[in-house]
Amino acid sequence: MNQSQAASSGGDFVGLTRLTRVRRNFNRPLLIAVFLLLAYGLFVLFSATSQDPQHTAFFWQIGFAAVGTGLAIWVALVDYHIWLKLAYPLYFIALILLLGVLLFAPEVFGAQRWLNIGPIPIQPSEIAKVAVILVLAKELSGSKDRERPFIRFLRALTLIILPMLLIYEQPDLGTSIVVLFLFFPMCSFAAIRPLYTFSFFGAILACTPLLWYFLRDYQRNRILVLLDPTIDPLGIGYNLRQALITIGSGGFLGKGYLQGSQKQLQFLPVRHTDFIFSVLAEELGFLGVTLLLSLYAALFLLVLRVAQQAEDEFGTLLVIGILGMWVCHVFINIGMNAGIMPVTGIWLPFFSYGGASTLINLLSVGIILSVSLHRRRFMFYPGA
Amino acid sequence: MGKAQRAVVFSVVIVAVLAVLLGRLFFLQVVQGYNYQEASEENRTRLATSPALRGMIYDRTGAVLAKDTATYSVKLTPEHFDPDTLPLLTQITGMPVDEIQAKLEENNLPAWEPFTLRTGLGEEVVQKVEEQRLDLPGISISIEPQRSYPYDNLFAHLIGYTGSISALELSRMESAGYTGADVIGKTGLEKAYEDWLKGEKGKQILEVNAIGQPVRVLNEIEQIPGADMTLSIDLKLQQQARQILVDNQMNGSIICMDPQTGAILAMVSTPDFNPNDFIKGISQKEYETMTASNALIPKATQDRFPPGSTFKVVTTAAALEEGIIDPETYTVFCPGYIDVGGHRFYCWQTSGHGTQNLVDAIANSCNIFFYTLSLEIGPERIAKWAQLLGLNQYTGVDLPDEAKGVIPTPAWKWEQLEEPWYPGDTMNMGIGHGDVAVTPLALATAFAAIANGGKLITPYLVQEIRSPDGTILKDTQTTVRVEVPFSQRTLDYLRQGMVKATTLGTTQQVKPPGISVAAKTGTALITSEKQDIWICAYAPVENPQILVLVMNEYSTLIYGSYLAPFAGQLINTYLSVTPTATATPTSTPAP
Repeated sequence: MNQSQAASSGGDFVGLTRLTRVRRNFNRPLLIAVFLLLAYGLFVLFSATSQDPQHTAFFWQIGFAAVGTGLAIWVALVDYHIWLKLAYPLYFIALILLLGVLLFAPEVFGAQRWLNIGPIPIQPSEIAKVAVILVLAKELSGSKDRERPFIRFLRALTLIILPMLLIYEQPDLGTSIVVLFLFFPMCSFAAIRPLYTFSFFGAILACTPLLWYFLRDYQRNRILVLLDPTIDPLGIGYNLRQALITIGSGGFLGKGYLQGSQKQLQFLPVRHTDFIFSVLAEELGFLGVTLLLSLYAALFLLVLRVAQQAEDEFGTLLVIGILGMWVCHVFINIGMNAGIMPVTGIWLPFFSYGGASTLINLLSVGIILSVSLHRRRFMFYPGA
Repeated sequence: MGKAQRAVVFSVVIVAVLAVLLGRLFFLQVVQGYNYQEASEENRTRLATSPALRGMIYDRTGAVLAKDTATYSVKLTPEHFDPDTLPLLTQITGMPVDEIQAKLEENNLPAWEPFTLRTGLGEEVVQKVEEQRLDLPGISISIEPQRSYPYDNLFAHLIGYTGSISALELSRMESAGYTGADVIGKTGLEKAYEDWLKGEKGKQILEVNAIGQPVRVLNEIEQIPGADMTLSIDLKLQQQARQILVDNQMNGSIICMDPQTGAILAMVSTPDFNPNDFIKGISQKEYETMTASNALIPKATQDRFPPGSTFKVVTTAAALEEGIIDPETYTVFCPGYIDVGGHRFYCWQTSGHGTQNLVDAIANSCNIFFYTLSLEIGPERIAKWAQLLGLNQYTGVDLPDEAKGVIPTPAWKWEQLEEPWYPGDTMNMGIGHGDVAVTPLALATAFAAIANGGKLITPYLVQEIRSPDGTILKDTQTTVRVEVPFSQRTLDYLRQGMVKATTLGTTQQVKPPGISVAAKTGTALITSEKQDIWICAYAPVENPQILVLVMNEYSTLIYGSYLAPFAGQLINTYLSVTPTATATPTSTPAP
């Protein structure tokens, strides 16, 4: 099926009102999994911000979640083929914003990631991730160059190179790696020969040692310190040791909600965002951690099912791209908390405090729900 | 490979990724959990700050007037503190149990931050605490610089004192990096030069054990001492000035100033206090006693008094500069009184001065002459010259909370009291009575302008500021605030009158042997027996190098001229060590 057919047939369901269709086809389990994650995240965020008697971050996050849920439901009800039209405009806006960050943004913690548009701070790299998913899904499912698969592959590749470089320059190594790694599963699910995909990633892996020379000193330090925490006992070595003590001392059952003793040491400046996982691990222990990872497993498998059952290739690729992004984030974030990945500013989906990430994640949920909703296969007709 | 198969592969990848993470967490939390729990128990890091050494303060000869010495403080961390150890703590610090408990209640720092229980302890406290370290959880010792003032009361009002930052001060100064544990300059130069004197705090990341005692220093940034200051003050002159006031049981103020530069050579006010008492900490009762006797107020800069006849120089200047009289021919006959508007106003010499010309009237301080003269000048023009001489302005001296004087005018009186201005008000104003009130320093600065030929200068105390490495950060230059438009003739008449004054009566004692002095006395009646009395003198007349102002509040002495010997002693002390030959005369000597 080509794109134009999909687009014209997407919203057309014979004999059923729109409302009935929404009711029958809405992916409730997926939305429930997302809500459970959000609620769990807020529960831990309250404790992570317990030194602020007003719990400012906690209440902001409730607001972000509420607005984001509204956004998700709105996006879910719109046929996802609208993103075919919006993909390139969004992609170019994202590129301009990324360029704007490099030229105008103030530095926070040594990196420029935020851009103020009027009073609203936005994080262009977050927009860029979704925009890249949209254009890749469009390109990889399109009819152009179907007979010349290698050219197709190269075209897709060029689409990720520019945003990756701009994000890397901020510098935000973590996010540029995420962009690279959502490319991999999307190619795998597209009509790209596995030979290209695998040889490209083989080449990337083979080039990793070369990458070392492009890293900044502090980035190299973050990697070296993983191998030998004693090299910088006062700097990040100290932070790493504290992070491990925080997680490790949680034990099996944890120290109890609000009882974390490592919190007051304040060795982690971003406890409620990138390191919120360590607060969870300390207070709720291995049990709490297992619950979180189980929720992620459930969510990811539900999302994967949506990808599998999507109406067309475009839908599948959208969902796979988003799923790739989330898996990558979970691995990098928990990995850095647990001392097996270098420290980068990567949020934990639905868990870390943050307006941009929460809204982008819930928008992505909306896209997935839309793909799940706007399909004919597996329609359930009672009594038929 | 079909879509379903690829989905299976991807789900395997997802599960594998999550399994790797779970495996790692299992290793950290369950396998090694116990070790990390122990590490967490032992591991407490804390950011500790150590106060910087405050800058030293010297006089012009290099004598130390304020310094920091190391003392020991006992600190208490509430989180780890065990109330059962209170008796032991009392034994060590010498503080009663209820006082310790009161301090604990007052403390508003977080429970894991040590707060200071007692400062200023000797080295022996270190040994006591170290010996019983294990029985004193949450108690630690820190070395802290303590401010001390070797000359006790001598510089109470000039240098002031330091103290713990208050909540109000903290709210203003928090943005500049101050914390609740800081000591800041509270009054005097300590307050005015806080930014220079304070230095940079040292920082330490400490690892502390479970009972809050530091086990090792992880990282350290050394403190940077504050800048040192050299004052224009002459210690000997300052001591002598205070001694004069104290020995004669006079409440008041003495100011010695270089009239050319504005450098303050000595400035004392009595009653005073010992700033070292504030460093040790004073009780509420002691504080109330000081407040009741006005000991905390520097009279020289923060209080104002009627200037009495010293103000006649202003009236004279107004009369001459405004062209009211011809000084060659103008005379007034003084029978000892004058009748104006149905009231009889007396001269201080009730038998009368006879016929007075301007120079005689200044020398004799004849009230009848100046009553008559002020009625001819009018209050506005007198006020204009008082303002030009800075008597109702801030002098801009480098001390905090300076007051400024009041020069009444008809408009001022109406605004303040809603009463009309009477001729009697003009007469009172002309002799420095009524509502005229000035700070001693402003009056001294006005006389300096007459002495130096018309430059109204900014008086100052801090001559030089140097960083700890010796770099000169500030070298005070003379600031001329106003070029008072005096004609040479006016200056000559003022000088003649003030020189002639030193040839008459008790005022003669203002002249040390061989030194020419110009002086004006003042007596402002406060009650029938008590008056504020003044003398303002400068010398040598040809080339003024020192100006001395002595003021005695609520004096039982009758006239300002009784202060002449004191001013003379100070002039003599200063000029006998400072050679006069080097300087060139800046104005024509008086005849």
